[in-house]
Amino acid sequence: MIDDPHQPGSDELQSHLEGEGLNVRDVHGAILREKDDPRDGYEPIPLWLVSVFMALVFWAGAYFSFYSGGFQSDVFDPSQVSWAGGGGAVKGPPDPMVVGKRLFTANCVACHQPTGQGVAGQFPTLVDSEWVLGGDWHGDNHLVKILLHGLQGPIQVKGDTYNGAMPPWKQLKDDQIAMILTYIRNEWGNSAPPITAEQVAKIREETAAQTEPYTQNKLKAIPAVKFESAAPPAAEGGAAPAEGETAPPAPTEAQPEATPAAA
Amino acid sequence: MSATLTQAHPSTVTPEMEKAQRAVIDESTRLPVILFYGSAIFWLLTGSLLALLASFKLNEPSLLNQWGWLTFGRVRPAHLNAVVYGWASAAGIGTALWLMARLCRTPLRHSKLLVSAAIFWNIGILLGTLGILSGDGRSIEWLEFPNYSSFMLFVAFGLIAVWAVIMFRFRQPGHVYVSQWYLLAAFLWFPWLYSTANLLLNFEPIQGGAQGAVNWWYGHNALGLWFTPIGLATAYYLIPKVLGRPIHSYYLSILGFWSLALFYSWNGMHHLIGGPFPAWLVSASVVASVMMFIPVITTAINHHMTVRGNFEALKWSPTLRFTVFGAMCYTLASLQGISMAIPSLNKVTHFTHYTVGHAHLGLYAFFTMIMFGAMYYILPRVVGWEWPSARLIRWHFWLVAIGIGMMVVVLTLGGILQGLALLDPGITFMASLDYTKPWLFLRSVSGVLLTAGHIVFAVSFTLLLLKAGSKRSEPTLFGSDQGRQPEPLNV
Repeated sequence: MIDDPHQPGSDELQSHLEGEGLNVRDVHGAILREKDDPRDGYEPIPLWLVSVFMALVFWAGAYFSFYSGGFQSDVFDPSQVSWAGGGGAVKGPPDPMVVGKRLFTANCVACHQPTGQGVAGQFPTLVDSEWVLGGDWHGDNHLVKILLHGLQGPIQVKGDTYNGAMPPWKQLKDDQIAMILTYIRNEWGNSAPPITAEQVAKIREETAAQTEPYTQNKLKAIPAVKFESAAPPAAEGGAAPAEGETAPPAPTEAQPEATPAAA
Repeated sequence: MSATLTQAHPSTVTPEMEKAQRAVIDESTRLPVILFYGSAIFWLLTGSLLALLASFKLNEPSLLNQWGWLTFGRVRPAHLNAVVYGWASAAGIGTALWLMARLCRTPLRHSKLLVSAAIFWNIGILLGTLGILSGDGRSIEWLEFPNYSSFMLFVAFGLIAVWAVIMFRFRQPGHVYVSQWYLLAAFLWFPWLYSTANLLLNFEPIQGGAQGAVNWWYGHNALGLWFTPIGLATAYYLIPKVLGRPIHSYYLSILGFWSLALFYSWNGMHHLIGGPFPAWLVSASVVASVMMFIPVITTAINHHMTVRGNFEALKWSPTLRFTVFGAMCYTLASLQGISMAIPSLNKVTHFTHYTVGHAHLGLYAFFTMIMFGAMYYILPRVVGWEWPSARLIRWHFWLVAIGIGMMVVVLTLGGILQGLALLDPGITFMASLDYTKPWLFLRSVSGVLLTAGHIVFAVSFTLLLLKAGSKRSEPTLFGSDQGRQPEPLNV
């Protein structure tokens, strides 16, 4: 079965090796007995394989069109921007009912309670409150001012008197305050138009000189302003919700089409 | 080689002339091949000991931690670099040198280039490993070697690449076999990858997040465009060679090669899923990773159809058994890698031992096993001596086959549990580590098996170099020492 190297090979092999200065006895048996170097067969590529590969190529194109982030260098979430969904349409801004609730839970529940009912005599209720939704002399501007600069001294809410201290929250950003206010105006059965970050920013600028918390009397002296509900632009950080069942009454202006690319 | 042998037209070459050609070619490859193989086996043992130490430290963190140079943060990268560059790359180069000479059908030219490269290479590995242990290591995965070491490796590699181009230029006329495509490509790809990555990360570091992208572009391509082509080239040569059958389909070979070249280089960014990188970059990598299905399945079919009907030979031939084991694990490792690039699954497996198991499936069960197969084939030819002991080969095979099988299984299962625990907000990080403990213990056991297998192999290799035993001309086959009569098999 195997060439024996101790037995001189054919004359032809011997003469070839001598030409190279080798003796057939020194050449290892493995080299002499091994099979020819590999050759190529020419079986065709099976059709089913080509079909599978074509299906993969199709999948690749589809995946890319959904998760390419519009090929933008500053889009980091593959599901956020879809090439297929109209050349980089931006998904709607954050839902204030979700973010607002989170901020409310983090900052406000200690006094106003998760139910928004507050504590009798101390922390006023937010439910169906004229301070929150607007009333005889209460405007939306007052609400924003209270959040920015705080409120102290006795106040009347829905006929009950409370005497506590509301700390200023100006360390929060405009859009955060806007989302908290939009949230409390539309939770627990409340219903009022959203507050936008721009409106908060404007009042923050107007009241930059305010250094101490308001009192009820001081606020009463300021004329009430009811924000135009159609005003908020839908730009970044705005309070306008894009989608979602918990959203407050939608602003009237058109929202950019949100693309459910993640689906 | 004399003109009679070299200038004969392929169609007029007789079988006797081919034998004479092979004798001359193998003679010419002796020194460089033994140099690269010998140093590779040395680094395999060193790397195994470092690996064992690192693994034991995960079982018992206080073990040997009184010395800075033996802390986990140094031992683990020292292990990785010693086995990746010292063992796997050197074994791959040794195999590739021999294959290049055989496939170019010309004696190995300029062996001084290769001997110098081997010396540079080993000094580089030695400096690098000591450098990492002494605290000079870089915090860049797969490129931890300090600059004074990586520079030496690059010089060595440059020499080898130049040599490869010269060899290819002076090849005998005739068909260029598929193994040759992979080898030449790998010899050109790797110096490019290695120099670019070192330049951009260590010598003139680029800024910010782009470092992560370059790091994984290199890390994954070292596997995909260096180890994979060499492993596949070896399998493409050895499987049909041992069986004496043609490779199944030239068309599948072409499709496999070009689709690998096209898709693999995009794969690296799938290591960055969830990271601060532009979405398109990561998504392109996810797509390319899944498209790797094409070269992987193509190659798997090509190899499988070549072996089909001859699986009996796996019972006898060490070369074929190691090589086919490796080729099958290539398919397995690649399919697993594809699944890990899918973001929803990556979420579980990322940052867990699952990834470590995958790395060993690729670099060990695929590449290292094929290198063992190649050594079993090539070394008797260049040394001029048959393997002294079939028993040692058998022990080697079962120790490493069971060892790596066990390692991959336990790391995979442990990694899944770890990943699910990490995702569960109700489980603290420290508690998630408890899930890995029993699996890491079993991993250490598998590491002991692997190391034992490596020691057996090193003994076998030393006995071969010493030409132990009596001169035989029949191959050392599994079972031939047990009085069983092998099928006729000329390997």
